[in-house]
Amino acid sequence: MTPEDDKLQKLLRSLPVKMPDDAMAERIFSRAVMQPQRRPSGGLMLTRLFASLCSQWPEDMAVKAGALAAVAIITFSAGAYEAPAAQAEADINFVALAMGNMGGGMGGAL
Amino acid sequence: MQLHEQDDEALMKLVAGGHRLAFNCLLRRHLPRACAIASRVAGISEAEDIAQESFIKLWTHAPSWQPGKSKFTTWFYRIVMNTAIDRFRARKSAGTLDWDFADPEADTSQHLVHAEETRAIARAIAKLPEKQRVAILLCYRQERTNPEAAAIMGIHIKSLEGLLARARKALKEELKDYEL
Repeated sequence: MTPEDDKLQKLLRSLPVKMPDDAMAERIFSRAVMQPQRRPSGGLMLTRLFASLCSQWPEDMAVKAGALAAVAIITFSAGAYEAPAAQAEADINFVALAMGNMGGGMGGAL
Repeated sequence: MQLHEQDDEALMKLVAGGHRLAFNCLLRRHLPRACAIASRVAGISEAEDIAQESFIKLWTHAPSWQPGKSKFTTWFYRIVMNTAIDRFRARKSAGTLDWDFADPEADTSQHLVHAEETRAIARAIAKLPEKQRVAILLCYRQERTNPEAAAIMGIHIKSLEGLLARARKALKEELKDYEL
């Protein structure tokens, strides 16, 4: 620090400031805690969850990769496997119905 | 571990959950410095209101505070600083800024010379552009390091150094009678 800086610091420190007392602290405390706290929205919480999963990737890669893999497995097991099964069932029903109609039609023709 | 032994970040996690005693602990710990910043930026008469508004924001926004994103002190003193700047602007535009940066209760009869010097410094600081004033008060009056002050102000350290250089030059010119 140069002598000029030192002098400036002394000058600035010589300026008086508001000194809080217990009564002031008490007033502020009682007014503040009367206010309701604002909870973050669900969307923000979800964003934070993903941000925390993706942050500092190299340091704890195994844990976070495991967590992401678990999310992926749950997602696929819930959606990817059921959807084809349901689709396949619908296809079978459609073919069966079509064959039935064909058989009926042919039977009628015969 | 007792509450008062815990660091700011640990207390803030409790405050986020609505812990009033933890909030009281943070309040008692940071009120003097919040008042000092508020006094210097917006004037002594505004200090209590600014401190109150800042601590109300601390309480209400605590659940949104993210521990890893920034230090508690950086986050909180930025709130104090912004609240104080808003007050200063409001007073300036309303024409109610009356150089109350000096202590109105000071005994000027006993410390006439000192009081005059104090008034001159206060006036010189109040004349500085907003960012220069904040930079010089954080670094010289609040004894913050340059990186800390830059983080509180949300600017790059090079910008802060530029502001400090310009503020020092302006103060030197304004206070040449006091051999700065």
